[in-house]
Amino acid sequence: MGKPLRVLIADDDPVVRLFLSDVLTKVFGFEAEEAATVAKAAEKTASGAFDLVLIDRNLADGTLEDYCRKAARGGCRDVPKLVISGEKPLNWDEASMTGCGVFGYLVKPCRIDELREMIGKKFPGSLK
Amino acid sequence: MNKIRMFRYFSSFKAQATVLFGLYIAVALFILSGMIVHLQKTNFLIMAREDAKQAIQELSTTIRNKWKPDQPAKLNKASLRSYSALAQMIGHNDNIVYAVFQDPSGVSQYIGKSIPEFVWMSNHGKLDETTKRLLVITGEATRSFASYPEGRVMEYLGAVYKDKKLLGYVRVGVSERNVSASMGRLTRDTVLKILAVNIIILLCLTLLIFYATSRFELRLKKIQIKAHRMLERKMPEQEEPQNVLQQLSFEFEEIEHLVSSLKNKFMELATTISHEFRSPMQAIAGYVDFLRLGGAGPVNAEMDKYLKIIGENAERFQGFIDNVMDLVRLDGGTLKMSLAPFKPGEVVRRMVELFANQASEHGIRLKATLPEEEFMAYGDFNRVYQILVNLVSNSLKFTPQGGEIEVGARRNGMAVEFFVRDTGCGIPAAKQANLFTEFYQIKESEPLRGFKGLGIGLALSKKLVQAQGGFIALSSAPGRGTVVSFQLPQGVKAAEAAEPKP
Repeated sequence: MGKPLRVLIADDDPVVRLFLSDVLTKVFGFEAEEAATVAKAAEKTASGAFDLVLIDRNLADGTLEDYCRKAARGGCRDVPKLVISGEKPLNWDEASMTGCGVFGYLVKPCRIDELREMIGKKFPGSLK
Repeated sequence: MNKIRMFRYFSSFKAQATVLFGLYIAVALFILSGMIVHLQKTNFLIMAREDAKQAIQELSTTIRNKWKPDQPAKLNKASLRSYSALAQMIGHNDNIVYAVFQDPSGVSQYIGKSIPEFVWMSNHGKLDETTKRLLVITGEATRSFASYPEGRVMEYLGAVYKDKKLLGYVRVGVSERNVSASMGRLTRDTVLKILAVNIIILLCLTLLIFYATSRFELRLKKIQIKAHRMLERKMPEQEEPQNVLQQLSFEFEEIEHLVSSLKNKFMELATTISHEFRSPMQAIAGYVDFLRLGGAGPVNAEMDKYLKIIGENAERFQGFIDNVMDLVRLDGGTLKMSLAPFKPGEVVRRMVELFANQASEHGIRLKATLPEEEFMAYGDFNRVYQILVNLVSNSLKFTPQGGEIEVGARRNGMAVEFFVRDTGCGIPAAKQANLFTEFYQIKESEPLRGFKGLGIGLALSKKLVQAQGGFIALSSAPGRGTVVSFQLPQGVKAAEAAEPKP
């Protein structure tokens, strides 16, 4: 087993951030950092090396699309992103989202099993 | 002051209606009366004409009888004048102004009445060739000419023959003025009578209409009160009479707005609730998982049991919210199906996978019936999945240990049919009618396991099936189990059409 995954949690809801952080660190054994805004999230991904980003569709200062643009400019287009949000909208542009590195969508409230499955598929062997 | 009050009064519905109807009736009566008077006048003219014709006939007969061949140009005046009945008739008939006998050469003699000056003053003394020819051919003719002071004169002519020899012409003049005068005398009485009758009818009908519209207005006022109740405000006290119809139409516009805004508020509220609940639900369901997975240390069996209960109830709650949101959106028309070809066998397989553990835990045999050969159906995969989950969950609640639940899909002509069959306690026929109604639950029924639910599942399933163009049906008997099946018509055909041709 290699280095634990470094995950960034981007959500403006403190409850969600706390929960995901607890799960990622105490259940999956990963390293987790938090960001409450698109700006902060973009800053973190630009400066730090993250293996995975868990992100909501709407944060206080912007949307998922805003973050994707900022991350692309910062050269982080290829960092895998997992969206954890409300229901997937009908006009969800699968193609362009995949182009930004989004590989999955989980609907809140999400179960730990679902998270495990998604992450396990993308990063085989990373979970205990 | 009074004038203004009166004017305002006439804006009221009953006043306007009465005046309007009153006018219609008055006009109708006027036209009717006119027609009656006109008929009377025609009658008089016909009578005058009849008189003239009769006079001509009798004169002709007399002349024929009294004719003396040796006095071709002369009639025996005395004998004519002494024909008293005839003379009397002509003399006393006001309408006849003259009666003349004219021989073929043009010499005329009057009969019983002096010849008015005008007959000779104008050319009317001589007969024109056309008239003569007409008399010869048909035996009778008419002419009319205007003159003063007699007014319009209608002359009736007849030819007198004896032994095929033309003796001469009889000419009788009827004055329309005299006819009018006599008619006038008669008509004046009739007109007065007609007028009197008209006025009485008009008054009676007007009163009737006024009464009827007053009653109608009262009914409208009642509706108005209801409208105000709906708008949640009191009817304002009215100083002057208002037009209630106009007011009602305004009020109904307001009600329309109210209903529309209520619908919007409801939709908004449902969406807000569903949205706001995500965060707390994440914490509850999430941390239950977390604790059970040992995130805060080892968990003994008892703790796990209680955590499991919390988790299940959180799921139940979430399921309820999701169903209600689906229903609200289906009703509001904002829920869209995403239709595409899919394999029905796939849905059935996943269904059985999902419920395998739960079924075996309760000693129930879960069986999948796949179609003999795989085919493509057309519909919304996720919604079909959702419906089947609901149906199987229901079956699990009411099937005893040792029973069986069968989930299947099959081709039914050009339609695809899904069904869930169980060997549960069944539903009596009397209770089956309202099963697919929202919030309907059979009071006496208690699930063998699990929670009772809120009576939304079947209602939602039905709406989801219908939104895909299909229909759902249930057949059940107490003690014999239940089968719920739904079909998506044209499912197979549409899928075949959607597939690209090789």
